[in-house]
Amino acid sequence: MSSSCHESGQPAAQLTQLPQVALVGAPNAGKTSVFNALTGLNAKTGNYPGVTVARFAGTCRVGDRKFAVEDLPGSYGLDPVSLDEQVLVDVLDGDGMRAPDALLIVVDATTLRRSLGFVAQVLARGLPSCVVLTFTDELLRRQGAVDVDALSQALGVPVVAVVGHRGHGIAELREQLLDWRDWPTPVMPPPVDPGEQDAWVESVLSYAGYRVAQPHGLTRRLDAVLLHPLLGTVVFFAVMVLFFQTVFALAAPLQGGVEAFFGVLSEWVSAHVTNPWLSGLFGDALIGGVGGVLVFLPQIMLLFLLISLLEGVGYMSRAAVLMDRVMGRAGLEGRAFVALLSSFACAIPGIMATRTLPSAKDRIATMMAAPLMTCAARLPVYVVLIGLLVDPAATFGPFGLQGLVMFGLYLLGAVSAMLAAWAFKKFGDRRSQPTPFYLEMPPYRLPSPRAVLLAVWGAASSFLRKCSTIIVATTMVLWLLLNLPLHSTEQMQAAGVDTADSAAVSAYVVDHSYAAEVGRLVAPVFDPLGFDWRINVGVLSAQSARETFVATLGQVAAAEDPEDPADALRAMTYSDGPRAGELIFTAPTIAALLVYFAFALQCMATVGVIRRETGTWRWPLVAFGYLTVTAWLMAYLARTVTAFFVG
Amino acid sequence: MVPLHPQRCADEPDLLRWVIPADLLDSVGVVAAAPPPLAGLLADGILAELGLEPAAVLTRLGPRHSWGEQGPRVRGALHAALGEPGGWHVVPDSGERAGDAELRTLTQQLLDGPVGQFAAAHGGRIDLVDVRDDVVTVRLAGACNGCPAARSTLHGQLERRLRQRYPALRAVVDHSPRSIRPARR
Amino acid sequence: MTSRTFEQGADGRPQGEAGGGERTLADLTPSATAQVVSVSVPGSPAVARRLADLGFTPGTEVRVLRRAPLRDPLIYQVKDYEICLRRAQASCVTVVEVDR
Repeated sequence: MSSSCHESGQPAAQLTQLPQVALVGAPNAGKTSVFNALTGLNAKTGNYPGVTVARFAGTCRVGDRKFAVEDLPGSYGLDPVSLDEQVLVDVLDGDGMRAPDALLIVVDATTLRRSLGFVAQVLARGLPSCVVLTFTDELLRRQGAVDVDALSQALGVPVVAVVGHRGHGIAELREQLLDWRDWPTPVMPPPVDPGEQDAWVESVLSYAGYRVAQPHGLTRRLDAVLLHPLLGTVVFFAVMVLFFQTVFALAAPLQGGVEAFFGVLSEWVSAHVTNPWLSGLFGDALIGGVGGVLVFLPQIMLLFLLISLLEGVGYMSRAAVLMDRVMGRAGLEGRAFVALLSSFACAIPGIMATRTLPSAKDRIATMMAAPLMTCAARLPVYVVLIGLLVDPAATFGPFGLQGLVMFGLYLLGAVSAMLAAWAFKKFGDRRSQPTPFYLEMPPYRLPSPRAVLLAVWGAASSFLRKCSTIIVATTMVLWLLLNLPLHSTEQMQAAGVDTADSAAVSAYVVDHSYAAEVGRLVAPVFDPLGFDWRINVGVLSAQSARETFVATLGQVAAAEDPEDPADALRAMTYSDGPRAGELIFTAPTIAALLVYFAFALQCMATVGVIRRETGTWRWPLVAFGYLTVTAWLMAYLARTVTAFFVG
Repeated sequence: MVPLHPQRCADEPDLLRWVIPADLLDSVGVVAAAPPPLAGLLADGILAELGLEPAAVLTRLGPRHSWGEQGPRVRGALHAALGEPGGWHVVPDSGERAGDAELRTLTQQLLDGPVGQFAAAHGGRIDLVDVRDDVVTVRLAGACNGCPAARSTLHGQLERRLRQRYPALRAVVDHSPRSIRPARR
Repeated sequence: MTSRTFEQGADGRPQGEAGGGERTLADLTPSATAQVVSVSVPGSPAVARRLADLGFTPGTEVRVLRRAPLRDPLIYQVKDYEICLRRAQASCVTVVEVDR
C-alpha cells in the first residue's frame, strides 16, 4: 500500500498514516475524472496483491493536510460477479488489506434511479461516506432537476455536486474531505433487498424533488444510424479504416522525425566520441536502442488519442455492441475488440487497453492474444522477407501477389489471436462462472480535452518509464555480444582480413563474436527450420524488438547498406554444415521465417507491459513460452508445406 | 411496496421521521391503532410511540434500543402496515384547523431539514412563529436578519417547497424585529 | 428477487389483463414495453442480483430500444438509462408486455 503514495522526501511510514479515502461508483459515473481532479498528476498505478487488477492511487492535498486517494474498480453492485468486483468488496471489508477510512460514492446524476441502489449497498457497509454527484450540468441541460440539500437530508450523508472535468465543485469536495471524521451517517443502514431498496430509492428521489433528464435527442438520432443493423456496420468499418489511416499516415512523418533526431544524435556521438568502443556503445547501442523504442511513441500517443476520443464521445460502447457477437465466438466480449484493434498497431497499447474489460479472465485471454495481432514492428520484417520470397511483378488475379501475402499474414495474425483467446478462455480456468455481459450506453458527449490529454500522457509516460529500461538493457547486451571479444589488428590480419575494409572487419568481428557462438549454439534448435547461425543471431536479436531483425541481419551479412540487405541476403549461402554452399533464403526458409515472426513474442516491451498489467511474472512467461513454441511448430509446418509445393 | 425512507429529527435521536407519499394516509395525529406488525412492535416496547404527520410517519424508539439494530424491523413492519391503510386509527390533534396543523408540521419538517440546514450554513436561523389561515409566519434570526439574500432564501427554499406539499399555502411572512414583509412569489 | 408482490403497472391495471402472458426480455421486439416480473439465473444468484442492481427489479418498466446486427446483443431502457445485454442474460428476466 505504501508503494501507492510515494512522494520524494516523505518517509513511507508517515504516508501510510494518511487518511485513506476511496472512490467507489459505477463504471461510467465519472470516477476517474473526480480522481484526477483530486489528485492531479501524481497518480500511481500498481496492482492489488496477488490479482491482475490494476490499482490507481494518489494523494490529494487540501491546505496543509494530505489524503491518500484510491480509485477502486467500478461496479454496479456489491455482490461480485468478477475478480475486480471481488477486489472492491475485499477492500471495503478490509479483507487482506487496510479498509479505507472514508468513501466518496461517485454517482451519475442522470442515472440516479439506478445508482441509488448502489449507494444503498455501500452505505449499508457503515463507512463514513460522502456522495459525489457528477454530470449535474448534463442533468440540468436535459431539463432534469435534483435538490442537493434535500438529497443529502434524505440519504443522511453529505452530498456534493461536481462537474469533474470542469473542476466545478471540486473545491467544495476538498473542503468536505477535511471534515471526514464528522460526516453525518445514516440513522440506519438503507435496505439492500431489491424490493425494499426500490421503495427507498423512490422515496428519496421524490423527497429530493428529482426530475428525470429528458432522453438525449441527439443520442437517439445518432444511435438510429450508428447502431442500425446495416448502416451501423458500414459506418463502423469506415471508422476503423479511418482509424488506421490516421494512426499509420499521421504517425509516419512523426516517426521519421524521431528517427532523424536519433540519427543526428548518433552521428554527433560518433563525431565527438573518439574512443570507438564508447562511441559504438553510446551511438549504436544506447541511442540506437532508445531511438528504436521511441519511434513507436508517436504511434502510441496517436492511438491513445483516438481511442480516448472515441471512448469519450461514447462511440466505443457502440463499437463494442456491434462487435460483441463476433468477439463472442472467441469467448470474449465486445469491449475486448478495442484492445485487439489497438494491437494491430502495437501490442503495448492493446494490452494497456484491456483495463476497460470488467473481467480479469477476459483481460488475461486478451493479453495472451494481443501479441499475435500484426503489429507495426512486424511490418519492416515482412516487407524484407516478402521481397525475397515473391517477385514484385507477380499477380494473382487483379491483386499483386506481394500484397496478398501481406494480407494473408495479417489475417493469420487476427485468426490465431481469436483462436488463442478462445483457448485461454476455455482452458484457462474452468471452475469459475462466466462473467455476464452488460454494457451501459452513455449518451454521446463532447469529450473533455483534459481527460483526453491525461489519457495520452498517462499512456506515453508509462510506456517510456517502464519499457525503455528493458529495451536499453537488451540492446546494450546484444551490442556487447556482437562486438566481443576484442580482436587486435594483428589477429585479424593473421586471419586474412583486410583491416582497411571496415565492412570486412565488422564481418570478421561479428563472425567471431559471442553472439555468433550463441547463434551456433542454438543451431540445433533452428536447423529444422532451415535457419543458419546468422539468421539465428537475427532472430535472437529480434527477441528484444522485432524490427532489429532487419538491421541485425544486414549487419551480420556485412551488406554494404545495412538498412537494405535484400541483395546481399539473396546471395547468402550456408557457410558450414551439411548444407554448406546452398542458398539460405529459399522459399521454404523464408516461409518458415515469416511464420515464425507471425507467432513469436519477440518484444521485450510487450513482456514488460504484461508483467506490469498482471502484476506477476507468470503471465508474461506463459505468453512467451506458448508463443515461442507455437512459432517454432508453425514455422516447421510452413517450411514442410512450402517445400512440398516448391519441390 | 410503498416508497419510504427514514430521516433524523433535529435534537431527538430516538425519533425517526419516515417520509411517505403525501396522499397515502390523510389523517394527522397520534396513532391509536396500527395494523398488526407495527402494533406488535409497540406491544414489545421496541417502539414507544407512533404518530402521523402529513406525508410522514413518526416513530419513537423504546428505551434501550438502537435504530441501527431495530431500524430494519421497523421498516419491514411499516411496509406491511402501509400496505393496508384502512388499518390505521388516528386521534386527530385538537385545537387548530386541520389544515393549519398540517402546514405547521410541514414547515417544521423543512426547518428541521434542508431549509434549516441551508440557513445554518449561512450563519442564520429561521424560527417558526405562527401558522394561521394558510399563512406561515417565521422570524429570521442570526445572520439572516436584515440580510438582503434572506428574502430569496425564504422564497426559493421555504415557500417553494411548502407549496409543493401544501398547494393551499397563501403566503410566507417574515416577522422579524424590524419589519414585516411578505415573501413574493 | 422472485417476489411478485410489486404489481403496479404504469396504467394501473393488474398485470393479468395486460395480455400476452409471461415472456422473457429476449423475446421482445424493438419499441416493445414490458414490466419485469422476476429475475432468475439458475445456479448463479450473484448474476441475478447483478441484473437487479442494473435496474431489472420486479415491477420496473423496460423498453426495448434496438437490436445489434445478428440480433444480439440487445439494448434496453430501464430506470432512466440505456443498457446493453446479451440474449443469454436477457432471457433470465421474465416480463409481461404492457400496452402503451
